[in-house]
Formats: sequence, structure tokens, C-alpha cells
Amino acid sequence: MVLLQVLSSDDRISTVLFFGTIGMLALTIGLIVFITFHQRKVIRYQHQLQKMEQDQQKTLLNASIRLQEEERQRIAADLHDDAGPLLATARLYLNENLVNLDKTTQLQSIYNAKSIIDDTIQLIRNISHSLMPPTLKNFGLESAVNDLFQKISGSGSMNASCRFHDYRERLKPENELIIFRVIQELVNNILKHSNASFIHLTQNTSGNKFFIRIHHDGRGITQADFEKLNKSNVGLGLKNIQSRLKVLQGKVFFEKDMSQTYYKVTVELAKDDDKTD
Amino acid sequence: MDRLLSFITYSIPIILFLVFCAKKTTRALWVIFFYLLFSFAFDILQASSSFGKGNKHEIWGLYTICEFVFFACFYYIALESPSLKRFILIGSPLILLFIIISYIKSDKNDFDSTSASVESITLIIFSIMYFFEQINRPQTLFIYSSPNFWVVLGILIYMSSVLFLFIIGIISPKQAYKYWIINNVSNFITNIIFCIAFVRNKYAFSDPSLEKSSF
Repeated sequence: MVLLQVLSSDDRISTVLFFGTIGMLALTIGLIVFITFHQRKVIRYQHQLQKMEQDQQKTLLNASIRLQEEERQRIAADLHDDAGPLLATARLYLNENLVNLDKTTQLQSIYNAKSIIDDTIQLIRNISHSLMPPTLKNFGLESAVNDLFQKISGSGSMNASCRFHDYRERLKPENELIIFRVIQELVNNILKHSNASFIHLTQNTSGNKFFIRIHHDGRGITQADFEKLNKSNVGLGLKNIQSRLKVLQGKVFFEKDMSQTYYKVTVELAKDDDKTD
Repeated sequence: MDRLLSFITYSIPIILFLVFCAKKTTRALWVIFFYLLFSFAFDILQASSSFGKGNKHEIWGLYTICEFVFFACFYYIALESPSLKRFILIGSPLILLFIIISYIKSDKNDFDSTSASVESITLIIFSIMYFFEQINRPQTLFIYSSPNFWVVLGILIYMSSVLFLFIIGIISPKQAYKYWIINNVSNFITNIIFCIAFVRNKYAFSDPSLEKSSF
């Protein structure tokens, strides 16, 4: 203001007015241009993120569908190749001619048929248990995992053990099923690919986090390998693990133990709202 | 010629509002519509009545007060952040009080440049607040798809253009009158930009993906 009062000549006032107005307009236009371009950049970035997420969802969905189809094929194969012939054989023993045979032969045929039917019942029970273990529903995650590990140890191929340190209260049934499937998938991968001689599972809680750790001494993968396999077309089981954990907002982490002798898989889940009603 | 230009520049946005916005629009744009009607009526009063011709500086002072009220209402409605709304709710009455006191104390034989300068600076600050809020809000639409953006742009361009004119008017009113064409041209440009805002409103409401809150 003092400056303007000193500059009293018309020319100076005109100059100040001219430059002042031009300056203000330039600032205004600069501000608008900056805001417009900044916002376009942000929106473009958001679209890119959205697209990446959609692609990821699509990949996980495809993996899930493929896995489902494989499971169905396996069940169909089990029923067709195992249960089908057994029942057909049982039927052969129980044909109409049985009444024409002597009593001993009749008894023998009935006994054979009964034995085959028993085997078929056991086979179907095994198929059913592998689909949905009743132990999980009736006794919880700890019992189901114990059962699973006992079966693995019982086969003699490796030493499998598990220990639940802090599982006093059961989780919700649907969450227990998801965690069990994740453990099943991880264990299957170890059995198929790692050539391990032992596998050990531990369960802990820390604060509001639920941890499952699986150690094995075979050939494992690291987190970088996991991410690479996840992006590729192979690694269906790993994609399945990831999509299941996404439901529980959980994470999985693959690493080599600090002693560099074991591979470790850590599954981390939030414990809140997880308790059974 | 000035008067004719003024009538035309106020009529066009009023007509466009009635065509594109009368059926469906936001409260913010209604405020701008009433402001335009008020400005149009003001111009007619000034041009046609003897009172208007004889007391133009007094009327301009009153016009400044009413213009500030309209624009403050517009910014209050357009801004969504509660803290910014609170700032306007508290700040505007204080500024308005200052403008009224300045008008009462001013020499009625000259244009009250002090009030006008304070009004300009205040509205420039409100415009910057609006843009600041828009940058920080997460949104999926471009900022220029919103009618409010164009209204704020118009107000900002007008106030930026005339700020130095009004400041000069405090020192030397005669010099300010010499360059009054800056005010007329800025007014004309602002009204054109308001027209764009009203036309944008039609597209904003016809696209179902556009949320009302993004205005």
C-alpha cells in the first residue's frame, strides 16, 4: 500500500494494474491446470489398480473352478474305478443262479459278496472322509489335523507331528474348514514335491493373531517363488490357498528357517470375530 | 454498449439454466441462478431508474454485499468437508460485517473499493479451499465433469482479474474507473463459464454413474 502511494504517477499505476492482473490470472490458470492434471493422474492410477485387482480376482476364480473340476474328476474316477467294479463283483456273487447251487457254495458266495460290500463301504467312507472329515465337524480343527498327521505317519513314508499350543476355544465351523483345507493343501504339496522326511505343525496365538507354522526338511519354496507361481498358470493349489485365506483376511508366508535347515510356512489370521457362537 | 453487453451476458446463463437445470439441479446451482437474476435486475435498475443513475456508487456498494452473501452461500453448499463448512459459517459473517461497516463508513460519491477488495480476497480463498477439498477427496470422476467446478472457476477468474483493479481503486478511484473495462470483460467471461456449468449439469444428471455428492 505504501509502495502504491509513493508510485503516484498514472503510468506506474497502469503498470502495477497490468502486471498484477496478468499475474493473478496466470496464477489462477496455473492452479486449475495443476489440479486438473493431478486429478487425471490419480484417476488413471486408480483405474490401473482396479484393473490389476480384477485380473487377480479372475485368476483366483479360474483357479478355484479348475480345482473344483479336478476334485470332481478325482471323485468320479475313485467311484468308477474302485467302487464300481467292487459292487459289480458283489452283484455277480448274488445272481439268480445262487438258489440252484448247494448250500456251501451259497454260503461262500454270500460271504464273498458281504466282504466285497464291506470293502466298498470302507472305500466310500474314505472318499467321504477325504471330502469332509467328520472329526473336523464333531471335534474341531485340532482333532482333524491330528487325525490327518496320524494317517501320514501311519503310512510310514514320513514322520508327521503336530502341536496346538493355544486352541482352547474352537473357531467358527466355516473358518475351521477353510483353515483345515489350507493345511491339507500345504501338506499335500509337501508330500508331493518336497521329498521331506519329517513335517511338524505348530499352532500359536499372539495378541489377536492366530498362527499355524509348518516346518519340513525337504525342498521348499520361498515367498518369491510363491509369488512367481501365483502369477503363472501353474500352482493351482497355491492359488487355492491364497483365495481361501483371502476369505479370512489371512496371509501365508513361505521362507527358509533362520538355521537354513528347514523350510517354514506361516499362516497368519486375525483372531477377532473368529470365535464360535 | 456496455449495458447491452451486460444484459446479454446475464440473459444467456439465465436462459440456459431454465433450459438445462430447472427440472433437476443442485441447491448450489440454484444459488448461482438467483445471483444471476439479482445481477440482471440490478443492471436494469441502474440503467433505467433515475435513482440508479444518480446513486450508482451507493448501489454498487449494496451489490457487493449481496454478491458476497450469494457466493458465500454457494461455497457453503458446494463444500462437503464439515471443517471447511464450519470455517465458512464462522468466517463469512465476520467478513460480511466488515464489508457492511466499510460500506456505511465509505464516501458514497466513490465506489467502495475496500469492501470489494476484501470480498475478492475472501472469495479467492474460498475457491482455493474448494479445489483443495476436491484434490483430497477420493473420486472416480474428472473434476471438470462437475458443474460446481465451473462455477468456482468463473468466480475465481472474476475475482483474480478485478482484485488489483479494486486495490488501485482504494488509492486512486479515478484510475480504477479508467480501467473499468477489466471488470466488464471479466464479468462477461464469468457468465460464459456459468453457462458451461449449467450445460454440464444436464450431462451430470443424465449419467447414472455420476453421484450427486461429486457435484
